[in-house]
Amino acid sequence: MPEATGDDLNPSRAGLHAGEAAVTRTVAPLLRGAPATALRHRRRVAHLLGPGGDLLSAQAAAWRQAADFTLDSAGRIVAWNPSAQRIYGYAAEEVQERHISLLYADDRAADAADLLAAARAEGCHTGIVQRRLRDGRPLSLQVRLLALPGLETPAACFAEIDLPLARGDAPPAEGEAERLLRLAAHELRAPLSVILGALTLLGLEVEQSLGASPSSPVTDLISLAQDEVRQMDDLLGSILDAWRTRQGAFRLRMGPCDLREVVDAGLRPLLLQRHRVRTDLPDGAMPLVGDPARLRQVVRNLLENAVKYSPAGSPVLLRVEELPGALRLSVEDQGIGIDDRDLDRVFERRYRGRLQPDADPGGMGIGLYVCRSIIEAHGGRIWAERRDGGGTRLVADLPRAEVGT
Amino acid sequence: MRILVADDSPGIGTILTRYFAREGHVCEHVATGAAALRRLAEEPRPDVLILDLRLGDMSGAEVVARLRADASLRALPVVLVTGYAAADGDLPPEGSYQALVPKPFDLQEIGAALAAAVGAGREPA
Repeated sequence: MPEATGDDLNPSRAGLHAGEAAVTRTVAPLLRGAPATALRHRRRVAHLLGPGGDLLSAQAAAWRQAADFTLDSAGRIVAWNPSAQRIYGYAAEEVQERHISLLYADDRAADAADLLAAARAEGCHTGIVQRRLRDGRPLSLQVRLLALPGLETPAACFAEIDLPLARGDAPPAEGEAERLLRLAAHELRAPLSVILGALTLLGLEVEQSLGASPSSPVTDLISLAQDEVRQMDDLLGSILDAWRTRQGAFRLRMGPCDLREVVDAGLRPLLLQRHRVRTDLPDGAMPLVGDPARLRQVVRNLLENAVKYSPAGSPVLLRVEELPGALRLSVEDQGIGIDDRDLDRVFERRYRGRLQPDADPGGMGIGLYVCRSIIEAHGGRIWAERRDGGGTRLVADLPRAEVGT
Repeated sequence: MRILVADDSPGIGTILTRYFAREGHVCEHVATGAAALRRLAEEPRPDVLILDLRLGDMSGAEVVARLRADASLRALPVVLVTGYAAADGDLPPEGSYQALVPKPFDLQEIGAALAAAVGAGREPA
């Protein structure tokens, strides 16, 4: 049976993550007749996602066509919008009180439980799933499932928003080589822990028995080996990130965080490596709702990219600006620059720019690819532009939610 | 402090046991979930459990679920360790464990997580 395509339902994939707050507000009136608790919970979702929908209203049109529904704590459907009816083919009366596994083929019913468990564990789960339409055809969709926080009532505990993928957007099948690489990346982390631990113990023993100072030749060699182990772990992490991004299996742990702390943490490794990074940040806290670990990775990847494509010792500028409803993070370098025709390609997997003659060609060309996935999963957008006076400026806009109000 | 490490890697067991012994603690290592549950039922009871998310015989989440269902072990602080990015792991419900430390970890890092977990467990509810 041919897979349904989302082409006619999905005018713009660009807005996939972006206008959720807008669509949540848009569909709220459509949920009239749904349990009052469901409506309250939808407002919580709108609050959680914040005013990003206004910022990205151009993308909200796509989201007005998104399926938007609410589940109770047991995974039963308690509210169902007209777009969900159009996409899945079920009328609201047909799905009321039915378990979400209704939307899956019989042999994939366990996927429904996995999806709910992931949202429970993470608060907000984003991924690509394959569902079954009322007429039996399969359809791949990008879903975002929110476990509504702090709600004890079992009446409505999950909110889901999803869009069908256009043909060609379905996650590619994982090849044997890719599967082995992924498994190897996972499995190598345990022995790396042992090596790192053994080196630490060795350092302590040496210090104790030889009275070596923290900077003796022996302890320097131990530190060098530890740094190399950490670098190996970074490479393994990159392999896993690329795999997750490609499979649409990126998961976020959303919560209130401060972009200032995120920036500081992302900056630290670069400063330790004695790179010249200047910062231009607003005064005070910069609260937003996001996944701090993933955002830290964005900061670090952007900075490492800038350093890599810059002449040795040339400064890199990291700036955060406050915009209405958003925070703009940008990283500028004075490097070799990017050709105009390549500005849109730098976020593609395995894109590699021209290096400085003396640059280290290390890395796998996936840092910016991962950055784009993370920023878009936060409902933001990221782009590259030429910097006045030479070099490149990478810019990411993140929707800013009011936290704690 | 009495520490129990449940991890199917003998290397991790050796490293953590030696490190915590240096720090003045008593540390034991078991390689399976079943062995961990058996040991936790015996005296003297460990004060904290360092638990790998993937053991040969059961998942770390299952071990945590069994602990939380047992009145005498419900309050035992648990520090999870995983070679999987947390995103991929089969995590127990939030609130049922005190910390999650990804591998590879620094020994000081896991020591700090342990101290925080035990401290949190001792705070009045």
